[in-house]
Amino acid sequence: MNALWGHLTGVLIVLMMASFVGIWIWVWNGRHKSKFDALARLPMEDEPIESEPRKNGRTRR
Amino acid sequence: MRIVETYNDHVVRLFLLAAAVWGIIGMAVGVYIAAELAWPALNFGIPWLTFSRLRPDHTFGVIFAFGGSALMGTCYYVVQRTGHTRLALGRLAHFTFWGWQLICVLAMVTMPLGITQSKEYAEPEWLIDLLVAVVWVSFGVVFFATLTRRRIRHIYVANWYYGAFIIAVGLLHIVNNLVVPVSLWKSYPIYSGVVDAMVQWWYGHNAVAFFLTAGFLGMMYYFVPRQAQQPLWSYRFSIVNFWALISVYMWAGSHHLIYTALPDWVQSVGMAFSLVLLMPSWGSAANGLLTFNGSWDKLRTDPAAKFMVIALVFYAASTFEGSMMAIKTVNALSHYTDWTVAHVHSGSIGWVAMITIGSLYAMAPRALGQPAMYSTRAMNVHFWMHTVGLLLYVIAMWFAGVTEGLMWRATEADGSLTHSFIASLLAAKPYYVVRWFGGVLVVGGMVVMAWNLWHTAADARAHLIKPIPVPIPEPEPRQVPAPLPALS
Repeated sequence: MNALWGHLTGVLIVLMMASFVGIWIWVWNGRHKSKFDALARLPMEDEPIESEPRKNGRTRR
Repeated sequence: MRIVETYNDHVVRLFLLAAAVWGIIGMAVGVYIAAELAWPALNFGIPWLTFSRLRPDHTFGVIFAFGGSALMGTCYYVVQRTGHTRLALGRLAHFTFWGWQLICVLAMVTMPLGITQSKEYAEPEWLIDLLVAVVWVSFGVVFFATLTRRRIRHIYVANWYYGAFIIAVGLLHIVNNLVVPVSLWKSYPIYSGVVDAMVQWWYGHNAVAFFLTAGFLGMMYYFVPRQAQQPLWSYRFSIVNFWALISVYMWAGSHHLIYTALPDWVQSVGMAFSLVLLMPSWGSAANGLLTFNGSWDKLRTDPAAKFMVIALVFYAASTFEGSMMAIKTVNALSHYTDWTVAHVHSGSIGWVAMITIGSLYAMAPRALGQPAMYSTRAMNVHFWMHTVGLLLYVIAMWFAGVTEGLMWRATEADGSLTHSFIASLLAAKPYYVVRWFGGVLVVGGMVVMAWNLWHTAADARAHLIKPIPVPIPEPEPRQVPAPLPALS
């Protein structure tokens, strides 16, 4: 195998490791906290529909 | 009068119905072929009733018809709710529904007739594959067009998973189905030999990764916090897990070809990536389970939450098992045995089906304009039928798999095999009967769900329900960017 190829894969691995660490640093950066906290609550907004008595008088089990 | 923008739940309801129907069909075929393994006479000597012809109908039926319909339906529901916007391109969205159903019917009819590419999970012939590509790209267009008109700036993490699912499945499907057609119903792949095998398992494993994992994680990241009524345990952690999962999964496929003609270093790469994969898998499972902190009492009253919790436990269990099975020495025992079948069904009946059923029970009342499902008792009955069926299935196949693995590798002092192959089949037969019975319970539960959905949908069938308005905040003066006009 070409020696150049070994250097290239080495550089790629370092870049991928750096981007992985970079993602951790980015998400733990304090300035995103309020945005992320709001997003974490987003699914809870889907409020249930108000219960209405059924027209045919059928009772809910 | 100001136009009130409403959510497009019509197409969601169609997919919900399709998922309920295909779930029963796909799993019923599975139960039938499980019965054929226990009682081989059940194929009656009819070619299209044989295990080999019907098995793709089971896998396609549950993965693509049932799972696909559930994924597309929940995806359309979630992208609207997390973007506070109506689904873009309503007609194209309806086209994706009818197109997908046509594909499922065509595939399910042609495969038992012997019209097949003979690639596992990619059996439909080239003509159907072309239709899949068209519908899949349309699905992507609807999804990303909806994202572009969202009113919440940041894209919620569930949509990242749905987006990865759409892009990656499109890529996998097209690359693995590059073939030379020789007639209307026959084609040959452009790859040959070990390259063909590697492309097939790059596809096959990533169908697990991006169809059966990323897509269903999209469901999980929306419906778990919604049902627990708790904020997602860690939004930050969900982002890290997303990038880790999608970058690692792509390279694990070669673990399906350990001890084959594939170069040894490629096998080792697949094994190493499979082990690393445990971390993002458990990360998402932990994030989902910890979201229930503070809401564990819901498990007493809400069967949908029960489905979700057991789904997450099985996600953690089956990904641990999968990583272990990718280790060469473990694989030497487990490969080609029913242990593989146990693993894939703890993932599919345990994780995929249970997170889907939980999410459908969470979504259906809202999409059908009801405060709750018609019958909570029926949901509980379904939960217990499904859970007991799952445990019977998986435990029986573990026993069968380890028995087979040990019997096949046992040798006498002179090097000859201790057991004949038929001896291992006879040893596995009782487990095949237990597995069949577990499957019967799972299908029975799906029928209970369909009955429950049918009654919950009574008002929707009678056109008595009103569309749900999108919560749009009052525009501020000189708002940048300008508020989106309402879609009718």
